[in-house]
Amino acid sequence: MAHKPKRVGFQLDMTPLVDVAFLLLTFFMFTAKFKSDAENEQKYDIKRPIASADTTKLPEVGTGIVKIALDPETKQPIMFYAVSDEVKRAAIYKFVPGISEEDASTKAMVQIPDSVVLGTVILESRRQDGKMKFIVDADRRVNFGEIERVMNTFRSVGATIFNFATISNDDAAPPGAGS
Amino acid sequence: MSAVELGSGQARRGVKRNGFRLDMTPLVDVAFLLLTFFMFATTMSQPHSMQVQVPAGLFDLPVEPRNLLTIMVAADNEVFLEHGTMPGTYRKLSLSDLRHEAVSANRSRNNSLITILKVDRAARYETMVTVLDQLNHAESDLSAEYAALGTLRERRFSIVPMEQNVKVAIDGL
Repeated sequence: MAHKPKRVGFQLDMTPLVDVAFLLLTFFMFTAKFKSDAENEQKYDIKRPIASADTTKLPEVGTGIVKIALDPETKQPIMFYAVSDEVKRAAIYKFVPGISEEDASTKAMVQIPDSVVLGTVILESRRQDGKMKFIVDADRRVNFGEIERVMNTFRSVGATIFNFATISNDDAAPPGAGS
Repeated sequence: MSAVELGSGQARRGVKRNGFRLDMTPLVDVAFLLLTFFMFATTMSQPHSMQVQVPAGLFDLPVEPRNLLTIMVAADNEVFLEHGTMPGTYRKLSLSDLRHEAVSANRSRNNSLITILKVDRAARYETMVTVLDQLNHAESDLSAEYAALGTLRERRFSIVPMEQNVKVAIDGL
């Protein structure tokens, strides 16, 4: 009761609060990294394997990514291929059998049925961009046999250096959080 | 203070500004909305890359067996080690000991030791990456050790397919 008259015309100085809020806002705006087109199309969550020795960031431009995910229902591995270069995509994806011309030019990621097709698209990627960096982004639960086949495909088309996408120990808890 | 110097028109505006308050509530609302949006949209966990190199072809180079250190991953994800000095002797190893083993095997071998990794097709990809990661750790340890001795470390490593007889041998262990 005694407080009531005091509260009339009560004003809280919000300036410091607003200052901090804007500071955080600008911080998050600048650090925000949005998902690439391919990640947007990706339906399956890939749990990357954990590695701590090599902390080089995964390259983002000029890449060809072989994604191997596990189908949550059948538990079978499914393979995708995503080229980061939007211009070169169409010329590479058209080598995938059964893909329409429209899909080849609009899709960021295509499904790869077997290693013969994978070899063809990797070879074509190398013809389009000799410096393309290849990345194998596979789910940690897939069998090594799948990886071995991809490695042999890379070897057969002369792409002898490639990268495995891994995740570091400390932020392994939510792999791809927010997806 | 400005009211003294300024003319009547400006002075009146000065008076008006005296109790001036802008309602910042909508601004703050939007700011916080954007703040929460960016906070949730940001992915803090960035993927890292582990570079691997495969040989252009599988050659049968004559290698002295004692210069080999073979690491094998069985179908049940157990890791085995075979020293070239004792061929056919497979020793079970825990992943946490691998780094130490690789360093001590290479110590005082003056870059002559070739590390070979053989992984069973039924083993998990995760196990292979963990083994590679441990070997990468061992490699940085070795580089430091060699540098302290004034020599340059040259890595000799290869991933080769697992032969059937090796698979049978380690599956039985």
